[in-house]
Amino acid sequence: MPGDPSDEELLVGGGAHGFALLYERRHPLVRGYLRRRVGSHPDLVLDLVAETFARALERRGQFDPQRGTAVGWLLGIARHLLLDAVRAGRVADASRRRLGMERIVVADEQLERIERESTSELERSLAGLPQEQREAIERRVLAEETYAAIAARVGCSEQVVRKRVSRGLATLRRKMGESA
Amino acid sequence: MTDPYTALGRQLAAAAERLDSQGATSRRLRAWLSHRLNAAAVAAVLALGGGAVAVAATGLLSGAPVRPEASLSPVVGNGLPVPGTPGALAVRAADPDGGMGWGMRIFRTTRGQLCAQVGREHDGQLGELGLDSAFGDDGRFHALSPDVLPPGYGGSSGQVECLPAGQTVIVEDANADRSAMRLLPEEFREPPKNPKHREVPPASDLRALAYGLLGPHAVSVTYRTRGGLRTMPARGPEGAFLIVEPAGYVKSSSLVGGSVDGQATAGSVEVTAPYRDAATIVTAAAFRFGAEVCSQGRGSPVRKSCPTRRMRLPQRWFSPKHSLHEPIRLTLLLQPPKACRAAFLLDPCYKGEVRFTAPYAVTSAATDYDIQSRAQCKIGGRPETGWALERDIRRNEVVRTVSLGLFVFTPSCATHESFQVIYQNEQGPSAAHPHESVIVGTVSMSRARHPGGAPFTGQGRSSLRTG
Repeated sequence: MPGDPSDEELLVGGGAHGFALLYERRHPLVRGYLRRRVGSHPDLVLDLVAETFARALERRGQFDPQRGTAVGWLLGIARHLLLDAVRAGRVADASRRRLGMERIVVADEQLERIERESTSELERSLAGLPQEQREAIERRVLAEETYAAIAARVGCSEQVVRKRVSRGLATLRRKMGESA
Repeated sequence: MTDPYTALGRQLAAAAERLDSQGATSRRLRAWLSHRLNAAAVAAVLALGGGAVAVAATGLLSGAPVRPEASLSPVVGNGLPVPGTPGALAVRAADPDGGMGWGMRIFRTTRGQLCAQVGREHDGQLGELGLDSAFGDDGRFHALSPDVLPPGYGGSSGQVECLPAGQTVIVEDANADRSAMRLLPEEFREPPKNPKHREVPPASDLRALAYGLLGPHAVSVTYRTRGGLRTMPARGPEGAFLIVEPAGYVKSSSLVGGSVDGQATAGSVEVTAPYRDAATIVTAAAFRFGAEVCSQGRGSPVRKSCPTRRMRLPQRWFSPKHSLHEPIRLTLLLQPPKACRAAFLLDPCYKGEVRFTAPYAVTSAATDYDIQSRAQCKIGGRPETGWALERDIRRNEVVRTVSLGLFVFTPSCATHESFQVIYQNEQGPSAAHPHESVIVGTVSMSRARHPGGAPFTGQGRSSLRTG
């Protein structure tokens, strides 16, 4: 909707209400991003999503919209929490604890059912793409990074990134058309 | 049941409102206590021939004592037990299946921590049992000495909890195992792939375990059992308690139940209230303040509610803004390509060695130096990781410390990425620790250097040495 505030506006000047709206709007994306990397560990995904947004809430004053999108910033937090979790063998919870947030305890079976039901057709199709195409689409379409930025990050030319995105999207369209 | 992501959204909204309304003064929860959610497991029966058979304490063979995970030091992490303080067991509890019971001892450490250590009890000694794939199922009792402590704050060595004096804690593990050796969370998730991992016992062999230290005002603890709520007294000046029940009546999404910490001071309580929306083992605790007895939580036979207060600690104590602007030196250490790949990073990737001169001494676990990496560049390496020294530091000591996390160096972002050294005194100034938390200094990635001392330019691997 044209009148809707942007993610960046919600994060920077939206206050508590804005942050709640940002969570509502973007938590499925962060969740999907983590789910594709964590695999079948819905409890880990829940913990990582919770800590990602808790950290974002704590550090929203550090976000600078001149330097990138809110989504890219959120995914950056998520990615580093994931890496730290891999190295440390546990998901950090310092931000949640500082914010007085309680750990949400849900039975594994229920979490798995929720994850199954919430996995979108797009996510399933995305998961089936070659890794380099999937990463290119995630960065360009989901995280809204520029082609130049992706090229620098991935270590190839902009042209190659454009091709990967284009081919990946074509495959997605075909796959989703087949399943429709 | 509510979708957990909806519940999470509500929690975040409430936290955001609290931050906004309190001028960003959120409730302080100590970083080193955050590890507490990783609890271990304990129990009391030997599984023989596929069945659970209670074993009398007498005649049990002794195995090798439990060894600490790492060589511990009196000036690192929790420190070491102060000689003489680990006295007799403070609390004992029977096992649901009978036989060998459980015990908890309490002691102080050289770094000012108060520790509670839980294990199986045999002739007044704490230990772990060789069953459920612990100790190769040798069926022996392995003595647990007080110096079997986690190498860092909180941590994972058996069932042990260390916290600063004056704090309170409840530790819960809804799926504790019978050996008292720690079961890792990943061992609960899928069949063991790592040969070092243990097999998770059947649910019928697991225990619901809860223990804690609620301070000198604690009177009793109320907790769930299969048969309903029960209340037990809290013991001694530490307000110690230990609960061991059959597992299964408290559902947990993983191995770990949870923990709560706070303070119980004269006249008010900031402690013990278990999670409001989750089933926990401990539901309430009662306290005595002068002639008044009151409770916090649900289900206590003491109906009068305790006066509570929210911790209102200055934000600057745990998130300081003031900086001493001391010089910080950053050296980038090239990592092997396989380490980069394992961290999902492009090669080359790095760790950062931070060097600074400590302006204040650190003499206990109450204060520390933290290194926080900051990244505000969209396409950069985002070295968004932090670590703490967790050891004693002399005033004016030159400190060298290396990042835990790996990151890539992006020249265009180097001015927006930095490491910041912070002196943390989250309890606020005191006679023993007179200095407030403060930023010691910040170093930008653009000022990084090679191990040889030359300015770092982000050139290729061939020109660098592995650090």
